[in-house]
Amino acid sequence: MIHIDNLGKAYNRVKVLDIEQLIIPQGQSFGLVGNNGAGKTTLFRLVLDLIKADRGRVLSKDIEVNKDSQWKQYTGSFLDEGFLIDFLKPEEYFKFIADINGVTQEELEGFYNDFADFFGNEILNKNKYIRDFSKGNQKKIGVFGAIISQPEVLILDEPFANLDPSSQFRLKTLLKALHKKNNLTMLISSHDLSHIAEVSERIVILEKGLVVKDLLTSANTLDELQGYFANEISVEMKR
Amino acid sequence: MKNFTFLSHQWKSATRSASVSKSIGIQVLMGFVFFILFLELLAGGYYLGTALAKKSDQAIAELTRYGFYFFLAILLSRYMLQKLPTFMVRPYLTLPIKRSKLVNFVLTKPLFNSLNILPISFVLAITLGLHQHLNASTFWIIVACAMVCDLLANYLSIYIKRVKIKHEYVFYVFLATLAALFLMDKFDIVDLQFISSSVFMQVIHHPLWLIAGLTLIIITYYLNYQLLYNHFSLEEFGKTESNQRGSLENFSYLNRFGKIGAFVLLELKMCVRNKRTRTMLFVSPLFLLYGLFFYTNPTYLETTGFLIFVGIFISGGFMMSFGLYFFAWESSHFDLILTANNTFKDYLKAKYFLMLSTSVIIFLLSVFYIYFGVEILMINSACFLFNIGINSLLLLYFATNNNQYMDLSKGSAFNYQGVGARHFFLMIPLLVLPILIYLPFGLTDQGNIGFTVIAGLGVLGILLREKMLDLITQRFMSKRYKMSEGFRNK
Repeated sequence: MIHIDNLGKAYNRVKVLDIEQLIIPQGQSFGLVGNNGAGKTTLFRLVLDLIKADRGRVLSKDIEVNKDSQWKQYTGSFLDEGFLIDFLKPEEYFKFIADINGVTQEELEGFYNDFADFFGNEILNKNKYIRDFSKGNQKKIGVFGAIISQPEVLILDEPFANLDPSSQFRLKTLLKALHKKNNLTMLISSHDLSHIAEVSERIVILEKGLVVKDLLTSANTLDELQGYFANEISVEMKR
Repeated sequence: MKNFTFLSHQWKSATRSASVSKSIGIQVLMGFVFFILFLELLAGGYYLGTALAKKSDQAIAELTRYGFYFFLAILLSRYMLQKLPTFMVRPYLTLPIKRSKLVNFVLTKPLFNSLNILPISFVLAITLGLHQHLNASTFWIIVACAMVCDLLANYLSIYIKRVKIKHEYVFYVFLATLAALFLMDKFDIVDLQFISSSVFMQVIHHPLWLIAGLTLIIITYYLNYQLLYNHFSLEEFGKTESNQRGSLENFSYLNRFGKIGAFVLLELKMCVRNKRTRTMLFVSPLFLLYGLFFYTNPTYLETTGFLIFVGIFISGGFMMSFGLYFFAWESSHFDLILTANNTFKDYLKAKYFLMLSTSVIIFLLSVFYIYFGVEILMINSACFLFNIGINSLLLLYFATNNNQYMDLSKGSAFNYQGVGARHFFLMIPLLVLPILIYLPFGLTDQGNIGFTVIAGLGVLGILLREKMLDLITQRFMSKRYKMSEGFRNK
């Protein structure tokens, strides 16, 4: 589905991403972890063609994302506030995305019903602009906006951050259900190791732009992840 | 903590802000404008002074008649030009610093603005011209009066501006009051000159009255102080009250136009719901009235080149002030635009149609200028066609150069955040091009052919718009990384 080939990106000659090869097959739920500055967001931005790679390429369904915009028809994404239109009300925002994707009003209403749980009564019919919502609720709005078009590929950057505990659990259930139902390819980054281990079939650890670990999730993945990051601290302390 | 530390933080925030290197151009331009203004004020003041001295023996009495105008002029220009002295106080609020100290710092800061020397130097230039009529004490009183007026205007304008953040209508009340004052003066309902003269002559005869002026300054300072002290947690102040009534909510008319309609609707909502764009919208009818300033003057009516300039401005002024930043307006959600399921061409087309429809409306409204002659209407029509055919496309093309983040929440006239000097220069070809086209025909007395050529080029642009939009789409595609990177860098 998504094929990353010899991809490199540097800012002011500081290397932020350097990936030899990474292939994400269709229907895989792919988790990305790494400390701040590891290159997670940069990788997602490159996959979404928001920044220009210094070398290499990203293929989506065997088409280079920066050459042809076909990927937009089946890719839903939410990285940060740059994806929200802050002067709209949530309903208007959803309507806008629905219009762009040719989703009808009825289908949209249907979605509202299906995801009533996820919104937990805090988003719809509040009569306020998105800019006046809390960070957590903005995140929910963004995540919902990304799935309105019923994409084949879903890309979310730290979707669990800023969410309250029950919303985190709801989001997990939601993502797992979507993945199962639509055979969705998911690319999700997170700092929460247990959440990411739960929703992903495969987890990649990035460090300073390099892939340092590539694991298929199993019963002891969480331990392995925790072990990795704890170890990193002790290595740093010894220095 | 000493005031000095505040100042050094201020300096750091000014020099280390991400946009500072980019705005060097605009600073140079503003510096130049400032310098020219300074020289003009000096020369104008001296000229006025000598003219007054020649005109009457009672030069001082004559001068005092204009004191109020002076005050109102400073008030208005300060209101328009001066930025609210903001100082990011939030990080200091939790530190053990007295709140009153912070407030006083914020309030005394504008006293050290370089603009302050303009009114004083103007008055000094006048007194230089009047020097034969002045003795030392009168001179010092006049200077003191000028300073009092300036300070009062300063604190008054800041106060009005601060209140306006919360209650936007204050701005319109303020403008209306000034307009009413001028109108009443003009139609002799209130004689401002007489009042002014009696007030200032009183001060000149009895300098102790200056204390009254000082009291007024203290009162306005105190008002500011109270306002800031009570609303210091910026939560209350920066944001407009939530739960606004959503305008344009059920505007379903555009639905039938599919994706392009969705984008146009988005654009309209953006205009209405953000402060900066809203101010622009309110000011834009002025472009329509632009003609009244010039058509009423017979000398302008004879210079056709000038009429073309006016014509371009009438139907294109709004388009130009808005269009040059077409993408920058959307900087806060540009990533969505880039990843949304639409072609860039549709996105650009929506903007094109927006320009088209607003110009059509403004043009239709401007038909009443036929009152000043059929030729005016003819010129305006040619300019209108040129605007929608050529200038709209040029604007879209130029707009791709603009990659500075724009903050739409802080807005008013004369807000230059996110505006670079070179963008002013980009406007020049839009205004000058049609005049250049006309010139060879005008000089050979073939004016009508000139207008036809201008209009014809416009029509050509309309006919070839698909091709042109393709070109602009390509340009947009090649610039998109640069734009989105710039917009992310707030």
